[in-house]
Amino acid sequence: MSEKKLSRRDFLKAASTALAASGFAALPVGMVRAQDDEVTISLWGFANNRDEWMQNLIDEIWSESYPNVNVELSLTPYSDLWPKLQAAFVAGAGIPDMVDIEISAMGQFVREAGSEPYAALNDLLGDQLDDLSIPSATKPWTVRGSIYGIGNEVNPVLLYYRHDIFDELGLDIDAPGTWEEFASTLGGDSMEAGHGLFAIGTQTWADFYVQFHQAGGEFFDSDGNVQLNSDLAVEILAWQKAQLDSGVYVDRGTGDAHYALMNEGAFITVWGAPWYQGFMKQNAPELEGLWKMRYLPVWDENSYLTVPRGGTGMGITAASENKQEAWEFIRICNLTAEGSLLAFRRMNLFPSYKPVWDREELLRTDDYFDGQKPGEFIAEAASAMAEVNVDPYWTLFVDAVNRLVVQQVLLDGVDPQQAIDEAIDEFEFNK
Amino acid sequence: MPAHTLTTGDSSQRFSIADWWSRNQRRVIPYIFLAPFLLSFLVFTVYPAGAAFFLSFQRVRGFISQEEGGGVVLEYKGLDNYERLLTKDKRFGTAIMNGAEFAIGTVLIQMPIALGMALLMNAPHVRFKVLARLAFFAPYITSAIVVGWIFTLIFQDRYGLLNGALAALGIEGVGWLTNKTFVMPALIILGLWTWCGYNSLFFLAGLQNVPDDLKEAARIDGANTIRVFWHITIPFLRPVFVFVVITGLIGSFSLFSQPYLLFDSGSGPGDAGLFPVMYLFFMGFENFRMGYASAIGYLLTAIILLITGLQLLLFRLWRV
Amino acid sequence: MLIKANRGTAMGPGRVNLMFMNSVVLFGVLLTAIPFIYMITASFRDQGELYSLPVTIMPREWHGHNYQKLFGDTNFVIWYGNTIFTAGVRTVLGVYFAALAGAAFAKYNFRFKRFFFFLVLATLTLPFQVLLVPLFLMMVDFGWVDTYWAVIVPGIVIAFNIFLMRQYIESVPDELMDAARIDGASEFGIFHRIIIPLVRPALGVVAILTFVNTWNDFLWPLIVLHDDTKYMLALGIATMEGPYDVEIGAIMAASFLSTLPILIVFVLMQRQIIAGLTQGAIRG
Repeated sequence: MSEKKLSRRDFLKAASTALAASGFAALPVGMVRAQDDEVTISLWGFANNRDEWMQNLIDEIWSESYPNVNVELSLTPYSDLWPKLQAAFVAGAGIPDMVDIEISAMGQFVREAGSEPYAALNDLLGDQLDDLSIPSATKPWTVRGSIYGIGNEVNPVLLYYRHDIFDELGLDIDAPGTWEEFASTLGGDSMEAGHGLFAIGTQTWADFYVQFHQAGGEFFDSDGNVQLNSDLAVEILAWQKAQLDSGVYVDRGTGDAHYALMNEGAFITVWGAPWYQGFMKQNAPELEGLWKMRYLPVWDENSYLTVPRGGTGMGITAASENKQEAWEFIRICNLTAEGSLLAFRRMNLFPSYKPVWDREELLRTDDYFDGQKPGEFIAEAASAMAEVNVDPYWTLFVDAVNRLVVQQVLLDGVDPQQAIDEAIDEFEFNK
Repeated sequence: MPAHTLTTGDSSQRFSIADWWSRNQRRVIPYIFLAPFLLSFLVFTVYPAGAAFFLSFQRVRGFISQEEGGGVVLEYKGLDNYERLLTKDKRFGTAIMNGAEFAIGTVLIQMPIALGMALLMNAPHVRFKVLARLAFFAPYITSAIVVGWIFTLIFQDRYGLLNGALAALGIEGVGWLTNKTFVMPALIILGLWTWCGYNSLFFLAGLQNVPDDLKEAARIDGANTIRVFWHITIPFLRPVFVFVVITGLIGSFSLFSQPYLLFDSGSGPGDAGLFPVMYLFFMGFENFRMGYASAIGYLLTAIILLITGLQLLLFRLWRV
Repeated sequence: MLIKANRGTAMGPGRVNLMFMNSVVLFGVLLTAIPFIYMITASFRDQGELYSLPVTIMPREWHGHNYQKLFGDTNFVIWYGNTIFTAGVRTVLGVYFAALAGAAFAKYNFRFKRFFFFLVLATLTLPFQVLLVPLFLMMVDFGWVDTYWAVIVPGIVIAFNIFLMRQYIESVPDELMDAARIDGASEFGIFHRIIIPLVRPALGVVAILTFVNTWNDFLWPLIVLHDDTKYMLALGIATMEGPYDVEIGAIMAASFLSTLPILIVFVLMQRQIIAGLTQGAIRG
């Protein structure tokens, strides 16, 4: 055996010498060198559409500029990614170079100053920060002044409405300026025609979050103090409950059922961030051309035009040994025209990278929304959104808001003030 | 075999080893039999269980960087975690109560049905026995993930099979997974489907073990069918009752995958679908409170052992 | 059989009664089968139809595209192979080691026997989730993260199986073992030629429980495996759930195909498995 091996190796050696001598040397030598310097950086994510976007970016842009740096993308379902990441952080091993950090999963690992498992990106970002739309791109991943993630999309909540049904019923969507007017002028007629006016989630904190922040409320102030205990919160909850009781608002349903209700016309307006538009197209394709969008009605004159909702930021782990390469990848994804426009093309997400905002492409018409230009709405909203303070205890807090505030008030009819007190008690207890 | 390698030359040595082996085989062999199990058990269960026990007295504060060897920053909290769980934490109480409710619901509803099914399957001339045996065991060996997905479809408010069936009967459906009043009934239905048939197989085996001559003798003595059932069959089924109740109890308190899937990684409306192991998982892996989560695990184990002990005591009283 | 038949004629139920009893059994079977049937029919449905009224068990239109999606877009076939491999290894080793340990507990005396058995019982009720982090740290130290070692080795020995095996092996008559000893059989020989053949139903039970356990295991592979071509079925099916968008039809197709082999194994071995499983409970 060993004799054979030796002779084969000798043969290969001889053959390669011959090859080198015959002028093919450049190719194999070059390849060897590439292999020597080859680096692999890994990213853990949870979203199919982001995965496709990055894979496209790697194929079309990245691999030409950085043939020696392989990017390995791995997908894990949303709720399973964080336990997996936590196990890796605890062990200090098997940690990826980059993580797709969803906004609600940002806080729990960065509670203690000095032991954050993510690398601060402030220095790497430098002046390029000015190119980004702060409320969408960095604010949700900023804790104690350190930026731990870069989000690529501007995500203002917009109101979508079924213009076919509005026309049929002779209703004017643009008439109401406030939420109060919205419910009182449109609610009765749409109910009579068998449609709920608006779809609201009764088992999520999100819809309360949108209206509360739009009206100027805050879950946390910039120092991390809970700001939920307010008359405004009580007022909004009581109002939402009243609309739900009267039938003007209907339960939006969870998962697939939400889109089934949408297809049935169970509701004729619904709000959502731009990423939600993609899910509408995917799950209610027959409604193409029947939807239009507008800005949200307001609560009062102090209300914001809209609020950001959701989003995912790319971060680098403190344990990464290839931070330069990882940053380069994040930069190309989020801070270049090619990367951010590719995201727009693949996911229809409006880039948070401001230098491309005047591109024709972003302002194109969308047949799903009857020829409207979603980009115009988003670009205008970008600078008029509420800035939301994300806290290291955000996830814990919104979980309490969901269970004890939204569910108790909207489903069980508990007094809003009592529900808020319970939620804050539990939050402070668990914190 | 080991003796073989030592045989070269000195034959007296070979004899002594073989001798020693034949004399001491019975004393040594249990350790050899035990070795693979014990090694694996100590390394992969006892040691991590010990580490988790240690962790249950700590609070995890943050991560230690990789250059410094990785791991977590711990702060010793004594019995704080346990005290908090026992005296202050309402959600833990909810989780335990849900577990108890599920256990009582499943055991009380399940046992009579399972026993009834077993009596039918044991009756002479009744057909479909093989088919029933197959059907009743199938849910038990189906993945909890698969079960969770199927029942997500079945319990769906508007498009679910169960509400569809009720609608066909003219009954208005309910929000099985969205209305907190119906969450526990929904879970008990899921439990019935998964374990009722399975438990009936145990009762069936128990029934087949009741000596026929004993029943004949009782009948000759003038006892009617009900008396025979009550005084002869039921006492014979005692071990089956013990088994069904105890495994049902442990299973109820350890429920995790099915509700976790049904409520989309949440705890259901108003925590109605929150079970202790789910709470452990949420605390440890969403709220990064691993010490607290370990304490939940140990307290839960203690509670289960306590209840099991009480059950065994009750069953012992029954024997007398 | 004969005895039962006799008893039947002695006090056999009437015709109407019998029909009623038959239909109750059949009804129970039907109720148990419906979720499975629904799983299968859902896998052949269009997503839109699944969420439409009225609700029906049978599809209005049969579609194959869930299966196309399953085989085209996911690593389903690879997951299948991985699962068979890991479940197979864990089952073969697990059954053998559990039988050995069960024999030691049932038929031999050794130091700390009661203590070890108590330890086995005590860990039965400890939730696995508690062990997750310490066990993962160990896998890191061993260098087993993202390898099959991590999925196979810690799961070979299951405390419950030791408990089951001990229960069965206790029923093996001591006289039989002593007789073999007098004939000069070694202890390993006794184990292989007397104990093993006598507890075959129990081996079947331990085998299927270990197999099913591995087949359905989700949480642990999730934590220790990173590369999705190493995934097992349960984990793979869980990863088919997109972030905000669930392809329930394809998940049902995967569920159906992944449940099938376990059911087939069970159908082939059902007599042995049920006998083996229930004997322990009767004896108490």
